Amino acid sequence: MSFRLTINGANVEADGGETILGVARRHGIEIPTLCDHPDLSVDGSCRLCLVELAGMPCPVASCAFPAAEGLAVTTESPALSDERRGILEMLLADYEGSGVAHEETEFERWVRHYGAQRPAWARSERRFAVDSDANPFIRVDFNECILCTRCVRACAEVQGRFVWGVAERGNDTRIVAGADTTMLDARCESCGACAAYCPTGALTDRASFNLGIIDRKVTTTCPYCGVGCQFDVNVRDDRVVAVTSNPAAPVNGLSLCVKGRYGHDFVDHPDRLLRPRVRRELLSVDGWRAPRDARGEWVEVDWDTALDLVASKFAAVHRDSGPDALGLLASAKCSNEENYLVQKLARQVLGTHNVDHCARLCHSSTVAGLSMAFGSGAMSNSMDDVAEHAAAMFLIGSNVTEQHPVFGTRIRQAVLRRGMKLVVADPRKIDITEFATLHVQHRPGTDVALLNGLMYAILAAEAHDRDFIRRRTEGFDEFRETVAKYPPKLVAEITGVPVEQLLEAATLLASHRPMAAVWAMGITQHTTGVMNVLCLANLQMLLGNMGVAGGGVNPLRGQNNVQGACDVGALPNVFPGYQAVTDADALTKFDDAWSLARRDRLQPVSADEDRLKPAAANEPATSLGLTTAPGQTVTEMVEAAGCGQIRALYILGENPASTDPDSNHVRRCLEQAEFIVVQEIFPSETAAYADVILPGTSWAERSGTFTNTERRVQLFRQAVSARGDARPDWQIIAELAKRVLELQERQPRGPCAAWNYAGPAEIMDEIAALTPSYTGVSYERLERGERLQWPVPSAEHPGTPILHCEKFTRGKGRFHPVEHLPARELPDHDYPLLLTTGRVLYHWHGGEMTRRSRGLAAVYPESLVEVSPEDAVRLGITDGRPVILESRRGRQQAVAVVTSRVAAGVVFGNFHFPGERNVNNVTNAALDPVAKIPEYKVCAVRLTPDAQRSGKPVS
Amino acid sequence: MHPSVPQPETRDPQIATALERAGRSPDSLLPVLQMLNRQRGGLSDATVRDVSRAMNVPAERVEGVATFYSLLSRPPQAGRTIRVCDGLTCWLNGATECRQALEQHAAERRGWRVTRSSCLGLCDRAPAALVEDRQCGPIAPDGAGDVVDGWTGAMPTYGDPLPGEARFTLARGRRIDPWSIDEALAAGAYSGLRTALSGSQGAVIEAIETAGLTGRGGAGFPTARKWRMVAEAPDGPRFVICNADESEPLTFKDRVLMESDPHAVLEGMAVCGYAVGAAEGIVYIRGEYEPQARLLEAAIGQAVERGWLGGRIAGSGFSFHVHVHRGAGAYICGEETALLESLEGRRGEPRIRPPYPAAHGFRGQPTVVNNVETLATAAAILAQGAEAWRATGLPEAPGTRLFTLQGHIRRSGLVELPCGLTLRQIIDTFGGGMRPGSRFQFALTGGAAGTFVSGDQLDVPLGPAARQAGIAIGSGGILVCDESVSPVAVLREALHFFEQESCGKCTPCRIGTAQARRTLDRLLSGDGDAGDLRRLDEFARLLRNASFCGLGTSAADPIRTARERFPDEFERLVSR
Repeated sequence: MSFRLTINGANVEADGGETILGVARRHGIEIPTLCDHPDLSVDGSCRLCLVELAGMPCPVASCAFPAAEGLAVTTESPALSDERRGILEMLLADYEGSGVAHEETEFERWVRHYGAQRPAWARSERRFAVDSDANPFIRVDFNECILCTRCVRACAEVQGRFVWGVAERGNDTRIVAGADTTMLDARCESCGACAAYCPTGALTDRASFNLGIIDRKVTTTCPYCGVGCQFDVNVRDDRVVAVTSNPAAPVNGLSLCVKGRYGHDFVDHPDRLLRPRVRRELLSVDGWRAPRDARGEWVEVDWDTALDLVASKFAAVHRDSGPDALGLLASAKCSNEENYLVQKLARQVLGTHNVDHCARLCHSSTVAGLSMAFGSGAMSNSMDDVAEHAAAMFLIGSNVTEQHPVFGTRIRQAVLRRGMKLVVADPRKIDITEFATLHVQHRPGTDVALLNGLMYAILAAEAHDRDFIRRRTEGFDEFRETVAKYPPKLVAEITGVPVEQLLEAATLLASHRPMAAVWAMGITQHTTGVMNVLCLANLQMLLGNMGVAGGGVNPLRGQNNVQGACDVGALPNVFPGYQAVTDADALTKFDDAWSLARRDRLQPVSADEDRLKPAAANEPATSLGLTTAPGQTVTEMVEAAGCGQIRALYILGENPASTDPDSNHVRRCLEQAEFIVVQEIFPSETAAYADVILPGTSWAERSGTFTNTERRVQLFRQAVSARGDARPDWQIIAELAKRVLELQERQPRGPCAAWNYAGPAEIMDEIAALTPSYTGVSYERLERGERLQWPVPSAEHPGTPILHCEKFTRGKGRFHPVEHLPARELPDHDYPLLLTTGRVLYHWHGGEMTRRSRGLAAVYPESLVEVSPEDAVRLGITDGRPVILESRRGRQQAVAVVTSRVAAGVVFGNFHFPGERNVNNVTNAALDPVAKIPEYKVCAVRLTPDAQRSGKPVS
Repeated sequence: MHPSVPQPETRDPQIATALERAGRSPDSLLPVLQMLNRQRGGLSDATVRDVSRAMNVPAERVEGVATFYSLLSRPPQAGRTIRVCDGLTCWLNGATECRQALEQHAAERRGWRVTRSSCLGLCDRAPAALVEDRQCGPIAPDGAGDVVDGWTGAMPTYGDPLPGEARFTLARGRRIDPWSIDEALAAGAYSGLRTALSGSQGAVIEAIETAGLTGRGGAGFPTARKWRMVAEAPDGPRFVICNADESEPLTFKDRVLMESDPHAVLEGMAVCGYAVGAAEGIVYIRGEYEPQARLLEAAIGQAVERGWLGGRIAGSGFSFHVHVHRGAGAYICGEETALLESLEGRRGEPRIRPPYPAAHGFRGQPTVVNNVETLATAAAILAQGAEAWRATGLPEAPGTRLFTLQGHIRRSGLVELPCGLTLRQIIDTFGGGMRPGSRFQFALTGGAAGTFVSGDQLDVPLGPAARQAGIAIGSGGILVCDESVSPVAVLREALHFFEQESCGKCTPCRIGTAQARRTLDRLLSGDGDAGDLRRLDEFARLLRNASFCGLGTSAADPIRTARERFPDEFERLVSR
C-alpha cells in the first residue's frame, strides 16, 4: 500500500511500514542521525533526526515516526539546527577523544556540520579508562561513546553474538561486554561489526589508530574464504592500513569476519619474498642437482636469470622425458586469470593434463558427486537466497561460523529473524549448534548411514515429493531398495544418534520446505566423500528441494577462488568450463584455440612482441600433443615427483608440505623431487624444498577476479604497489610460457594461443571465449557493478542465481544407491582415539598469511587439540597443557583444550601451524577412489601429555 | 543464545529452584534475579554468568537487567539495607538529617547499610525509609535507633471521609479488613463484575464510555477507547495489566487503594478482562510495595477460592487469572511500554510507539495497561452505574479522583474529591489551610513531573481549565509550600529525582536531567550565572522537544513552569 507525503515541499511516495527517515533516505534526502542504521532495528535514542511535521507542536524523531499519507515533513530549519546542535553539545559534554581514527567519524562530521561546541559545563574528568580492552583488533575508548547502541545491535542482530550490552542507567549508563568483562571473555569473535557500525571513535580499528587520515580507498574482494566478501582497502603512503566495510558489497554488506577485516597486515610482513631466488648450484654450468642430493644455499637473482632457468628446465624435461614428466599445481588463492594461465601453460606449452590444485583436497568429491547426480558440480543456490528463503536448513559437516563466518552470521540471522529451522549434523558441538533447532552429533565417518537413515524415515512417513521424483529424476527404485536397508535402529547403532533424534531430524527436514542442504569438508574429506555427496543429492531430490529458491545443494567452497580455479580448468580431467579432456570434441576445440606453429628460424626476430604474435593462419598448426587421458591429481603428482616419474614440479601458491595428509611422506617426496619451482609470497614449508622461488605479489598488489562459492565472479583490485621485485602471478606465468615456447621454437597460431596480455581483463576475455559458463563475463560489466553468477551465457545475460530450475544440467536428476562403508582407519587398541581435523576461525589454510598477521597470531598463537573432559581425565591431560598427538604416520605437538565440544573418544586438531605442530603429520592419506580426496576427517590416534614441554602451561 | 536451544541444566541449586518457581522463559529473568538477590545479598559476576547459562540468555542481557534496577545489588553488598527516601516530601520533612542519623547508627551497629532511594510512595509517613522490605516512617529526629531495632510505625488509615469528600472509588476504604474477602463481599465487592458478566462485553465498554472515565495514571487517556482497541483487535491472546508501579513523587494513592481494598483493583481487572476478552491479568507492582504485593496475592487467593477469579468466574464462561509481578526499583517502569519491557525480563527502557500496547503489548499481544485507580474506579462504575459516577464532578470531567496532599498544610494525606475543585478549595477545605503562621508561596501539582503553581492560579478549577492554564493534575500529588522554601530548591530535588530515574536511553534525558540538576546546584550554591539560566531553559526545551518518552518530556514541565512563574527566585540567585 503506497501513499504520498511531502518532504521539504517535494512529493514523495512511501509504503506502509516505512519511517520518515527511511523514506527520506530512499529519496536521497539526508537527515542527520547517529543511532539509526538501515541494517539495524530502530532504536530512537540519539534524537538527532528530529524533523518538523506541519500541525505538530513539537518535532518528532524521524527514525521512529511512521510515514503516513499527507504528512508535510520539514527536515531543515533554523529551529531544527538549534535542536540538533543542542543535542550534539549534550553529547560532546560527555565525550572526550584520545586520538584520531583513519577517517572522520560520523559524529565528528555532524559536530562540524552544525558547528557544535564542547560546552563550558562539560565533564572535566574522563569517565572510563582509555583503551580499556585488550582485544588485539579493536580499540575501545568509551570516553567517546555516545550510547547510540549501534554496537549492541550490530553484535546481536548482524553478528548474532550478543557480546555488547547496556548496563546501569541514567547518566551512569554504559556499554559493557558480557557480564562486564573483556570482549574476548564475552565470546567476541572480533568480527569488528561493532567498530564498523560505531559512529564515533569509541570502537575503532586498533592497527590504524593515530596513523592519520588515509589517502584513498580501493574496493576489492577478500582474499580469504569462499564467501567472497567485498570491502574497501584503506591506503595511506602506499600501505594497507585498514579495511572498512562497504555497504554496497553484494554478499556481505557491512559484515566481515576477523580475517577479512583485520588479517591484512601480512602484506607487509618482513618474511615477504621480494626477489627471485635459486639454489647456488643451478647457477653453474650443468649445475642440476642429482636426485636425492641435498639442495644448496639460496642466491637472489634477477628475473631473467630465474625465468630462463625454469624455462630451460621445463623445455628440457619436456623434450627428454615427455609432457607427463611435468606437473603443475595451480592455486585456489590465485585469480581466475592466473589459474587459467597455469592450465594453459600445462596444456598448450607443456602438452600435459598434469594440472591440479587444492580443490582436490576440499571439494573434489562434491564436484564429482554432484556431477554424477545433476551434471554440474557447483552450489545450486545463493547464500542470500538460502538465508532469506529457506524454511529449514540442514547443515552437515560445516563449521560455518568459523570457516565461512559471514555466511554463518546470515544463518544466525535467519534463525533469529525468521525462525528458520536449523538442523545441524556434526560430530562436534560447533558454535552454530547454539542456534540449532536440533543438533545431531553423529560419529565421524558415518554420514552415509545417517543420511540413508534420514531418508528411510522420510520414505516411511511418505513425506517424499512423489511428483518431483516422477517428473525430474531417474533411478529412484534402486535407490529406494538400498535405503530400505537402513532402518533407524541400525542407523542409531552405526552413527551413535538416538532413534528419536533421527526421526525428529527427518520430520523437521521433511516438514519445512524449501529446505537447503549446506555442507563443507565434514562431508567431502572422507574415503566415502563422493558417496556422502550423492546421499545429499538423493535427499534433496527426495524432498523436491532442487531448483527452488531457498533449497538446493549448497557446498561451501573453502578458499577465495577454489570455485574459479575449477571453473577455468585447473583440474587434470577438464578444460575450462568443465569440458572433459576425455571428450574428443573438446580436445579439438582447445587444440585449435591454442594452436601453435613451428617458428621459422630464418625469420628475423626483432622484438618479443613480434615473435609472439599469433602466426599467420596459413602456417601449419602443430598438435599440442594432448591426449584424452586425464592428468594426475595433486596427491598423485607429489607422489610421482618423489619417485622421479615427474621430474619438474611447478607449484603456484600451494603448500602441500603442510596441507597434504601424512605430511612426513609428502616432505620425503618433495625432498627427493628433481626440480621444484615455487611461486609464492612467503617462504612456506613447501618453499623449503624449492629449487627456484619466484616471488609473486599479494592480492593487494594486483588485480583479477575470484569466483566465490555461489559462482559469483568478482573483481579484486590493486590497492598498493608491488613489494620489492615481486610480480603479479599472471605476468610471471605468461613470461615463463613465452620463454618455454621460445626454447621450443614454437609460436602462437590459434585465436587464443598468444601470451601477450596487457592485463587481467584481456585474460578474462580469453576465458570468456573458451568457457561457456563465462561467455558473458567481462571486466567492463564487473566494473559497472553488475552482479554475475555463472552460467552467464551471453553479454546480455544477467547471470544465474539458482541452478537446475527447470531441468538438471544432465537432464534428469539421478538417484544413486549408496551403501555405508567404514572409514579406512578406525581407533584400535594402540591408537584408541578418533581424530578429526579442520580449521579455526582465526586461521586459514596452512596459516602462511594468518600466522603473519599480528592480531590473528596473538589471539590464536598455538596449535590446539580439543579433547573431551572424559578423555582428559582418563589420559591425565589438563586444559592448556602441552600434548603429543600420534598416529602410525607421525606425531604432532599441540596444546590441549579440554572441552565438551567433542564427544568422548574423539579429538580435533587443525593444520594451521607448521612442522612439529601440524596435525597433517598424523592424518591418513587414504583416498576416495573416485575423487582422490584424502580422508582428513577420520584416523586413529593416541594422545599423551607432553612430558618434555609440560612445565609450561599455555594460556 | 536462542530460545530453541535445549536448556542446559544448572548445578546451582538456588538457581535451579528460582527457575522452577519463576519459569525458564527469558520473561522470568527479573523474578529469578530478584530471588537470587534476596538470597545472596546481591548478584556477583558468577551469578550473572550462571543465570545466563541456565536461562540461555546472553550474559550482557543479564548484566543489563542486573544493573538497571535499584533494588538489585550488583555486585553484592554486605549487610542489611536501609533505603532512606529522597522524595520531595521526605526531603522537606528532614530526610537528610534522618539519613545522617541512620548512617551513624548503622556505622555503630555493623551489619547495616544505608542508601538513598527515590520516592518510596510513603509521603504520608515522611520522612520514610525501607528497611529491607519493611516500610517505615515517619522517622522522628531521634528515631534512628528505633528503626534499626525494628520499629516501623503504622500506616495512616483513611477509613472515614472528611466532610466534603466524595468516596466512590474508595467507597469501602478502610471500613473493611483488607485481608478479609468476606468483609469486602459484604460491602459490595465484585458486584460490579457480576453486573458486567450479566451483560455483553460491549455493554461494559459502553458503561465506561458513558461514565467518561479517563486514565488516572497521569496521562488521562479515555479508558473506554483503550479497552475498545484491545477488544476489537484480531483474535488471539490479550492481556490486562494493572500498572501499580506508582513511583511519582508526591503520589501514594494507589498504595492506599491497594492496601485498603485490594479486591476493588482485582475486580476492575476482571471487568476489563471480560470487556476486552483477556484471560490473564498481571499486577505490575513496584518492588518497594512488598506488603501491598503480599496483600494482593492473598486477595487473589481468596478471590479464586470464592470463584471471583480463575476459571469460569461466578459460573459464567469467563475465566480470568491474575498474578502479581514485582518491579525491582525503577520509576521508568510506570511508563507503560517500559513496564512491558520489564515484564518481559528486560531493562525497563520504553519502546518506540507506535505500535501502542493496545495493538502490540505484552509478548506482542494486544494489551490494556491501566492504572490501579482507573481499574478500581471502573469496577465501581459497573457496580454503581455510570450515572452515579457522572453525578459528581464536572460534565467535561465527571466523577471523582484521588489526591494526595502534603507540604506546609495542616492536614496531609489522601482524599477522594469531585473533579473540578480549585486548588484553594482543596488546600483550605481538605488540607486544613496553611500551617500556622505561614503563607502560600507555590504548589507543585501532578507530582515531580508536574507544574509549579503560583498564588494567582489558586482559583483555577482542576478540570479542563487547569490544562489551559498550564496546571498539571497528573496522578493527583500536590505539594504545597510556604515561603520557607525556594521553588528553585524544590526544582533541584525534582531534577535529582529525574536524574536518578532516567533510564539513560535517549540523549536529552540521560544528559539533560543530570546537567540541569548540576546547573541548579551551581545556582543554589551561589556559583551560578546568567548563562546557567539560559542553559536551564535550553535543557527544558530539549527535554520537551527531543526526549524519547514521557519521563524526559515531562521533566521539562517543572523547569519551565518554575522559570515562568518564579523568575525572580532565579534572578536573585544569579545577582547575589
